[in-house]
Amino acid sequence: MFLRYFNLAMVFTLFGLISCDRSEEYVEIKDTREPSRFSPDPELGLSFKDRVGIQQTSNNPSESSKVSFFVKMVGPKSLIDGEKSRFDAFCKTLKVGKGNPPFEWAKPDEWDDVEGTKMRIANFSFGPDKKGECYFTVLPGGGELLSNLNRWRGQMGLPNATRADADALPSRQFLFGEGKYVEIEGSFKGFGVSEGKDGYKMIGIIMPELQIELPK
Amino acid sequence: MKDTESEGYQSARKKKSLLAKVYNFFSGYLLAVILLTSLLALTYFGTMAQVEMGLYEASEKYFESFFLVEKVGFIHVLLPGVYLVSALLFLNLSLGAIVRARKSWRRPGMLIAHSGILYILLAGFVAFHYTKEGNMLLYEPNGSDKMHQSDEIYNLINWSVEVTKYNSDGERELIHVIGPEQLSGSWNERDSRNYRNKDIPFQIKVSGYLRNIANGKGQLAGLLSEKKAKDKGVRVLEGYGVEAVPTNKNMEFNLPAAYIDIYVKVKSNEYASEAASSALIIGAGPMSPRPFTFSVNDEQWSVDLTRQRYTLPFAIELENFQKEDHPGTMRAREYSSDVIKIDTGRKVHISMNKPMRDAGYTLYQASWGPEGARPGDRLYTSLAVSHNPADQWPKYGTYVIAIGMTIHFVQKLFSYLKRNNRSRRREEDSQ
Repeated sequence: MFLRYFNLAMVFTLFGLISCDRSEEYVEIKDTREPSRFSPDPELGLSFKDRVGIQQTSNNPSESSKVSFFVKMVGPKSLIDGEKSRFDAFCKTLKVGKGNPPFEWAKPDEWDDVEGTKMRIANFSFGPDKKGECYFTVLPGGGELLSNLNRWRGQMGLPNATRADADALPSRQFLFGEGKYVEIEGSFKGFGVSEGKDGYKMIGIIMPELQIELPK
Repeated sequence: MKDTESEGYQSARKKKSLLAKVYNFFSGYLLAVILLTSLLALTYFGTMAQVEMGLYEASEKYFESFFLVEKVGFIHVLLPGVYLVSALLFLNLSLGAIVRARKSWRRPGMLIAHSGILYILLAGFVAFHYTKEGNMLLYEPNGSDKMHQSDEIYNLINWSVEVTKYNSDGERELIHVIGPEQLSGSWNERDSRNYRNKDIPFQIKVSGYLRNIANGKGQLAGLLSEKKAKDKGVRVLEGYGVEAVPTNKNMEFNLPAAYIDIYVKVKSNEYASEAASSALIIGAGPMSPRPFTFSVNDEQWSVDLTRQRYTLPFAIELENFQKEDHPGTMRAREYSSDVIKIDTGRKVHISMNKPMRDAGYTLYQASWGPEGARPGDRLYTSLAVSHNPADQWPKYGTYVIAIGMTIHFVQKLFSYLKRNNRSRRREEDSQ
């Protein structure tokens, strides 16, 4: 008797499952929240590329990409003035070579190697209290000349420069092209440091947004 | 008649003895030893597995599960998870050390100590089910925006789909949230789910949900160009398709993606058969919301795939972020944040091991960013925020255990001294 009812129930269940319209199944959205008064306003009406911030897809490596190169030396003014010739010599030895990252250079004997970071390909310190530092960085993208110049000026506590100021910077042969030479003095405020160091000088070369072929 | 009565009595006795056996087993030392040994083994396996699986997946497999399958050599063994073992241990301790144990005012120490252990187990249960945690990002103040202030935290692991309605001025009115639990479960390539709400004039169909399309470096490795997507038979929208990428060990590096289709409501509970809008949405960061936007009945709406967010009952402002690097490097030696609770003006310095506690929430200094920031770039501090109703319970439980143990050992000491005195007196009397 039980088996008969059980079989009957199974048949009805099967029919029920077959006749179910799965497209009508849905999940109720129950939760809501008020927008935060502090969260940034969303950018609306963007295309997929703009929403995701695509400049090139990671799966299309043959496309070219922009890369910026920087070499910078900073420290107390008297120290930097004394090391200028070594800075020039170091810049002249910098070239594309083998290895990863693919750069080669000759370090001035008086400078000490400091462990590189993700961005600082070459990294040195010098001077009696190691107050001087010089480093070479390569950045994907990296921004235009004016924004980089103003970033550097900001570090020295100087007001922003104009586009005309940036265009007027002297050119200097650097790596495989020409970069813009920067020489500024001020109160140097390092990364994450709240107090500036007076009497500092910064010299460097900016080679912004160079179009290069990415490796396949 | 007498025989029937006797049979009934026998069967009742049998039943009683079976119940008694079950009770004895669940309150006995044997189960306690098995459970404690299991906990030891699971803690070892769970800790070792973190190397291969990462913290989140190992925790989920070993510490948050009822059962798990562990491969020992070539054999797959079914083991109880820490959740089940802890629940059984709670039962075992309750029955064995509280209900069954001999209770006497002369021996309260063990009872108090076991109550303390039960309290800690309960704290674990409450913490597991009711803790809200996430991160708060606060940028350095620059005087031109509000990114140094926040009352929101976002979860690093869990994602949700947010459906937002805008008013005629383009301001957000209300956000409907499809939470992580509604996106959970297995998603096969062809799977789709429809989401609705009576206040939303459309139905959202989410299909092809992928838990991760990014590699560990934040690149969208699973994003396919139109040609590649077509070659692989993947759906293409706005010139792109997506394919799954193995999930990262560090779950916070995973970026999900999904296709969405919007079906406008025609009548009550009836929706158009053709999608009015369709889009590919990819998990986005909290500080630069760029949702997919569309209009329905002249109202503007957006859909975004974001990390799950909670709103705090108070807002925090970053006054100053300090970071000190190791000399000559860009590696941080220490960093800390000076924050203000906006409503009350309370100022707190948050640093490593010095969290801010307020309104049941704890804010720890977690990290800083953006990764690869250059000198002069605007930095942000990342505070880990936790709201655990049982936050302090383990501490109180430990105090209770310590009190119980102290009472127990002091009593033991006194009874030992008493016995010692007695035997000495007996010896003196006999001499």
